Amino acid sequence: MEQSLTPIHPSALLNAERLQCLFAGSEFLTVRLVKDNNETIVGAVAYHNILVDEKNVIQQFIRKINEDLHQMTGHRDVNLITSLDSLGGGKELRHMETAADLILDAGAAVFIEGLSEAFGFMFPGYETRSIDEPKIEVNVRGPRESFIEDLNTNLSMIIRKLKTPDLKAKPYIIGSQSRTRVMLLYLESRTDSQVVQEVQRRLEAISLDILIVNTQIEELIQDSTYSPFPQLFNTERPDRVVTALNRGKIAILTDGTPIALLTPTTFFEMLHPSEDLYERFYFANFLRIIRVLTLFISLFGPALYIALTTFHLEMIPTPLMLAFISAKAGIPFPTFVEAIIMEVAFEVLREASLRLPRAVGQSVSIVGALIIGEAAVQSGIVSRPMVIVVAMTGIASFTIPSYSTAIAFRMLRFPMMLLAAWSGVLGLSLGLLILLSHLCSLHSCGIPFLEPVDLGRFKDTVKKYILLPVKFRRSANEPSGDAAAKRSMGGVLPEGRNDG
Amino acid sequence: MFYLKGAMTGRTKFKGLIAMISLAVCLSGCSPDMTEISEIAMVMAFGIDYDTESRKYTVTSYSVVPSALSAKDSGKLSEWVISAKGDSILEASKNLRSRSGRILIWQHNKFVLVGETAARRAFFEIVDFLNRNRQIRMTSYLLVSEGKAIDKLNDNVETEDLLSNDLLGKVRNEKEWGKSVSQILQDIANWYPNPYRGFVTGRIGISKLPDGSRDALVLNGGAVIDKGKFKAWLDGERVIAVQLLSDKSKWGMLEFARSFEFQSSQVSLFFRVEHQRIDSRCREGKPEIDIRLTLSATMGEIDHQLPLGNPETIVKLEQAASDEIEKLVRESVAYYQKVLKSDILGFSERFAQYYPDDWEMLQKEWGSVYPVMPVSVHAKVKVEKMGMVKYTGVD
Repeated sequence: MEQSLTPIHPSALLNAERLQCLFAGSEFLTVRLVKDNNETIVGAVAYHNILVDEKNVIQQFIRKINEDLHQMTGHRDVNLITSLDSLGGGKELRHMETAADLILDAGAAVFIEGLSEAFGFMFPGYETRSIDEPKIEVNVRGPRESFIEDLNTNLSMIIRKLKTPDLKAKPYIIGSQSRTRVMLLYLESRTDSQVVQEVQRRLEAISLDILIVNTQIEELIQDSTYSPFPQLFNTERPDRVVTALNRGKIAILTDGTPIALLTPTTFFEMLHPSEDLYERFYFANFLRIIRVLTLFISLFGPALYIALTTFHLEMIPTPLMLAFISAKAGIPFPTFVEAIIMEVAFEVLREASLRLPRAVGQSVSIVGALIIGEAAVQSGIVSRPMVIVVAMTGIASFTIPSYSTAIAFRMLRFPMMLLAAWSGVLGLSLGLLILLSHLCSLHSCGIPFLEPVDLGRFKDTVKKYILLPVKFRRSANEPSGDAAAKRSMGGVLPEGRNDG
Repeated sequence: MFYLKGAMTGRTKFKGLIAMISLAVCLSGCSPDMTEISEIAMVMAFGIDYDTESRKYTVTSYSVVPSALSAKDSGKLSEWVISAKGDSILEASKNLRSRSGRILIWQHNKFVLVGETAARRAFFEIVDFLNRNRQIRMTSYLLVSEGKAIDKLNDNVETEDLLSNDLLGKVRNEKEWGKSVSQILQDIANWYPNPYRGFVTGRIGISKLPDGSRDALVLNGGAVIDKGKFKAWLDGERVIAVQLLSDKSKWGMLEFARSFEFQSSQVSLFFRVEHQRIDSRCREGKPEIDIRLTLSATMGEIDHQLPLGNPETIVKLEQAASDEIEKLVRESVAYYQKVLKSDILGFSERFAQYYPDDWEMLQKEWGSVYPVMPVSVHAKVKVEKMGMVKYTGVD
């Protein structure tokens, strides 16, 4: 972007030759010259023959231009422009580089003899995936569409749900080679302008050769590089993005990635699936509480078992202790080794069932679970309570809706087990302390990651965590700071627009 | 290592690795605090006996170990009784290790059985040992055994359940009949240093089954401990009043039965305490105790027909029941005062708390004041339910 731009030359032929020079060495560029009755060149059409729907370009575009040229009388430039106007959707191009960008983005550039500007028309001729059901964030009552790889389709899914001019979109092109389109979306009246500026600043600072997945953006704009926790929320659900935009978040959509990034986000938002908003609030709240519980189980399950059964035998109720004693008889490994064996086996299984072809994957997980669970117990390598603990922990980790957060907890389970084997509950408290202080230090685009947890204002914390019935919910959505002020001045919509 | 911000050079990486590896020394098998669950024997009850001739203590542990050492028959537990002698309780309990290949875990201990001789000769040492020991829980029950404690622990339980579970069930059942009372170590530790009061704890004995085939452990009656040693046995009938006049944790859920003569019929009622109040008074240095009990009763059985449809009969029945309860409590308290001469209900504590000035004088002659102290008993019984059977009430 720093290099100086070449303006478009009035000679269409020269422009076409320049483009051919730019694309020399590949067979992808097609240039067609448009001539009038006198066989003089009036213009040139250049397009990428792989990306563009060639049939469409030739039949509907070049043919129409030719026909118009032959029928009309008068000044040929004016004729050509009128003809192009009638097609609609043209983009004015002033530099050769933008023309090249357009061609690489499945467009056709039209140069007109004598004009130092060109016109671009989009003719995408490549196949894209059709809109599918969500695969990661499955739900029962909510909408069943998820993002695809095509940015425009994704944008349309969002805009269909947010029909307001308040929705601002700022395009970016990231990647010097991949030239990937990235779109920043936010609702102006709801979003803190400082946060928007900050995100824009970070996006502009990105320098990459190739941008394929938005994880690259996520890594480059997050606040803390070495944290195991994702500081940007990622979702494949348009409805989730719309809800987040309405709450003053910023969405970042990337062409080629069927997942949107949301920022600023908080730890607890990662624990709530969008399903929460679609269920009755009793049930949603019950699940929110359950999810905090499963979070702790998935982090501390095996570690707590190790700590209790090797250091704090007095903490286990006697009847349970009797059951443990009888189950542990004859097991050759210490509890910690047993736990490591089972946890590693579980992770291997999970990874295997994820990577294998879908048809095989299912059977691997079932057979693997049967073999590892039953055979290990039968042959006396692992005790039954350990199998239960590991299975329970595994299942608990599946209840965390954000996959990236769940991975972080899966990983942190191992250091916790180490600490538990080192010094029991004391070690666990140490681990929890380190983890909490780390979480407290995290920020997501300037917003504390642990929002709204504030032990000084425990009541407010609970109020914000618990979902109220819809008619009282408004206050929880209320944006803060200058955005709120803007809204109170009536900046959202002019009256009456809601009627249409 | 997310907290290590900034770039790590090769050297710091190496140092980090060494630090991580050295942490592994603290892992499984190396830490002295660790106890693997597969290496332990859980002591569920233990007994302390004392031999007056050799002046040696015997500690007997009743523990639970897995019965099989292969995972195939896991799920079974077997009981394991070992005992050892020593000059002190601590020494004897340490000597137990010579008999045991497993680590003895005392935290889950539920019962301490003290032999009769040991309770008579060395009760102070025993309670002291139990209080000082970190592994023994203060919620364990202390029972005094008729004869030797070791015999009780070696005895098989009728239900073939674990001995400790069986005993725990028996303690739980105390509130359903009231003729046995067990105390936890915590309470005993609070009471036993007080030279003015005594207390009653559980009494464990063996009784033969009616056909004489097997022995069975029974919890019946109580053991009176006074001035730091065992004083006398108390039979079941005398224990009911102890329960009635203790704090609410004892009488709150208590349900007990009494039979008495009423209009030439034998009537059995079972009672629940609704309200209990004990007032202490000190008039011109003379202590008095006033006991008020409100009970509700349910008709259990009658051996003749009674005109129970008639409200007057009910009123008379309630009067008779009240007299019966008053008699029971009055006789029991008189027994504690005059025969046992032991303040097992803790009246002295009331005077010490409510009349500290008078108590200054009283405590010196408490031994002679207590047996003659006037105690008035008032009981009010309300018969609430007649049971499922209804008679017409026609004579």
